[in-house]
Amino acid sequence: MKTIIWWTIYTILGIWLQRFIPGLDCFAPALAGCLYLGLFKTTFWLTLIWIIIQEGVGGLAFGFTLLFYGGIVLFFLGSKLIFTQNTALFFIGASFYSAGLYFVTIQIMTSLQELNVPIYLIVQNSMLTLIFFPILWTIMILSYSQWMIDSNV
Amino acid sequence: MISKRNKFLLLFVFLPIALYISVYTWNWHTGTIDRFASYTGLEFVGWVLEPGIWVQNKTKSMWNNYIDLVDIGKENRRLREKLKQTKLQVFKLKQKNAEYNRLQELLKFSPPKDWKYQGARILAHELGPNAVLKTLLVSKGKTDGISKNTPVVTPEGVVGKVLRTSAHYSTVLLLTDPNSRIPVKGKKSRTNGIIQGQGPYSDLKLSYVPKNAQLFEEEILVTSGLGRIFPKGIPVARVQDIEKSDLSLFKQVGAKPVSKLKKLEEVLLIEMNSQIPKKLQDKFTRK
Repeated sequence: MKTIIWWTIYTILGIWLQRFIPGLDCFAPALAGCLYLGLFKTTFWLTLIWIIIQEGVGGLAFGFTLLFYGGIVLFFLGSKLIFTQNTALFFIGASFYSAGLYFVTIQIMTSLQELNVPIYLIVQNSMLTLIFFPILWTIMILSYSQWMIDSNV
Repeated sequence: MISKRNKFLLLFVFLPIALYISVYTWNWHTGTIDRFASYTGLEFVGWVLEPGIWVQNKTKSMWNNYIDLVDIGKENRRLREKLKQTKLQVFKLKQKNAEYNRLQELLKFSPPKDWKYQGARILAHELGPNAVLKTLLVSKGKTDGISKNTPVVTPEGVVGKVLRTSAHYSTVLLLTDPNSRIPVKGKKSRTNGIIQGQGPYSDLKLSYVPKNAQLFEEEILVTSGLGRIFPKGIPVARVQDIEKSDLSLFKQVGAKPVSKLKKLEEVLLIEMNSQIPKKLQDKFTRK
């Protein structure tokens, strides 16, 4: 129950933050954080819910968020086997990967749907991902550890 | 026998890709997942934002009242308070007056014959990473009779059209988006063309205006009604510059939207009154 409340509050705050910063994604860093903390079941449910939310409010036909979040989840699951995740280098690398993945995915989806989107807008949103991904990731991990893990000990 | 490596590739690479392409193609043809996402995701976000906006406005006014009443000296307390209250009242009245004027402007708007309109509040602009199109989230949806392609206007002119709807909320594609195309004609010259968005930081582009067609600078472009989405005669943009190119058969025309898109708080959604087609349908069914 406590977990559901925590994630409901996070989702509501995320939607509000996305309202104030157009183009920002508050949920991808949280998915990365969930995988980092080993919350695999939570990741599965949150991915489903957040895909529906982002697809519902977005202007593109279904597919972008599934591909983007799928790429994030696969990267973090795969990197768990190869890299040490709690290093600064991995942290920076993951942020660059997310921004790059956003850029490529949005390019694929807009060209598949024959939509004309100015390149500066995609670059702008990728930069937002690059900057905010590590910030939100850190905030999510720290706050979740503080309220959900520490309080259970 | 399939090797372990091939099994891994099949399970985690080829199968998900094939599944993704199948789902994507199925949705592209039927739109089922898009409709489901709109009815759940868009609706949820609308429910999250709308009460928050109400609370935000209330808190702002309460905070302003609190700030206004703090640090009043004892000696002049009554006088100052009276003055402040009067000021606050004037401010509130000004706000109300501005709102009254705005709403009166909305009421003045006379929709073309056979079209009815309703007001909607803007809840958000581009929301989330998926929103790469220039869009607005408004507080009217399918239950209010709004459907895809419903024209969105202000008393000044066209804002855009509805892109997708949920039960109580809709996403509006702005006319400045590069994917927006509206058939227009010059109010004075009656020359036809198609107005196209060029992105939020650029002017609109009027395409397919023949080189020898008449068109004036500062001329208002109105909807021509040819697209059967917008009613005829609603102002869209004002012609800014006209250039003739030696290489093209058409004029290069730049225009500015007549609606102040960055300062919008409310919009009007107009839908064609379905009474006439219904009557016709009844006539046919009776026969």
